[in-house]
Amino acid sequence: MKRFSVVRILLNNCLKDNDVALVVGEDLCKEVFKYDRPGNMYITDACDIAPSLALGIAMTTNKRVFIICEDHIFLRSFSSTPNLAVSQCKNFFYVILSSGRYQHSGDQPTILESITSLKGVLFNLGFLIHDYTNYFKDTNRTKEVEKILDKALGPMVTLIDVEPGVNKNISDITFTKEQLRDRLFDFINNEELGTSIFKATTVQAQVFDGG
Amino acid sequence: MVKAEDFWNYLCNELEYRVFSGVPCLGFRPLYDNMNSEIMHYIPAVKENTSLGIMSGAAMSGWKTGIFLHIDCAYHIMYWLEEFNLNYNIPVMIFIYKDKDNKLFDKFISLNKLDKIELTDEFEKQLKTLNSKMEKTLKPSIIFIGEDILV
Repeated sequence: MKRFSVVRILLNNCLKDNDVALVVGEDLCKEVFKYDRPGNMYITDACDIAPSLALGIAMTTNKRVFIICEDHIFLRSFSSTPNLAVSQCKNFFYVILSSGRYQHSGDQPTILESITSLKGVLFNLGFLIHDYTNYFKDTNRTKEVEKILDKALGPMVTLIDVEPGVNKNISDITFTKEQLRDRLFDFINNEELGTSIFKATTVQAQVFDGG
Repeated sequence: MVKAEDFWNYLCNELEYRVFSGVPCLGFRPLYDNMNSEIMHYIPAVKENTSLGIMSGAAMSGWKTGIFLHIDCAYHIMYWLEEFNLNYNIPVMIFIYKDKDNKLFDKFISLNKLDKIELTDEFEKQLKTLNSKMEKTLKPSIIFIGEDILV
């Protein structure tokens, strides 16, 4: 499945109305803007700082915070990854859309596929790892992702391999940066929206804690 | 001389700064030794721009935040301050241990017209003024802390 189809399903079906989504990278932001929602924040530049920014938001709200980016952004901001992993923020979800290419600059390869065990590295840092690539190969199975995410707890990395290809029918983001900031502030502090974070029952909590 | 305990008490209880981050620096040792988890949270970061990112995120949720770093590492945050905090108008108080000059950073401050102070014995008045300025401008502010100021 191509990136724009994955983000459409993620944004429209998998994320709840009270989830925060930080979308990183200019092209990806424009693709996602088609499915804009009040909890979306678009970071078109200063991409390296975005994962730690998402962690800062996750630490100070009870809403689920999803950061959605391509693999090259993940690689660029790798130095902040240990901080994200050890944060123990149960509402922090890092979604990496991996095409293995710099799609915005002519499909040059990234080094992601050369990393011997990316999942091993991330797991050993302290992340829970979910790989949804197979779910997104079959449109009938994407509903399962929604069910899994409903009960997922962070800090979690979600890997989704996407086919190369970008949507050419995209529009510019019509909000100014200050409008985006104010919109997100209002969204985060709107307690009526509540949270979709999974609350385990006593028995489930014991299983999670290894008790 | 500024007692580290008084510094925290004023910053956290009076000005309501609650969340801090940074990369350890020997000059801030009195502050680390006097941290009080009942009035503040401190997140140790692996790098200065990570601490700026985490605190900017917390600031976007409406919290008052600060980061601590050494003057030598100031260049790690300059690009991100310009590209992110000054573009989105996200205020973060930046405490810098200054045991030497950094002309590049001084130039950066004057180019971006950031408010700055050098901490003295009258730190309460200084922090109060800077805090109220920052609330109006929504720009990050710089507090230089010199050698032997903190005890």
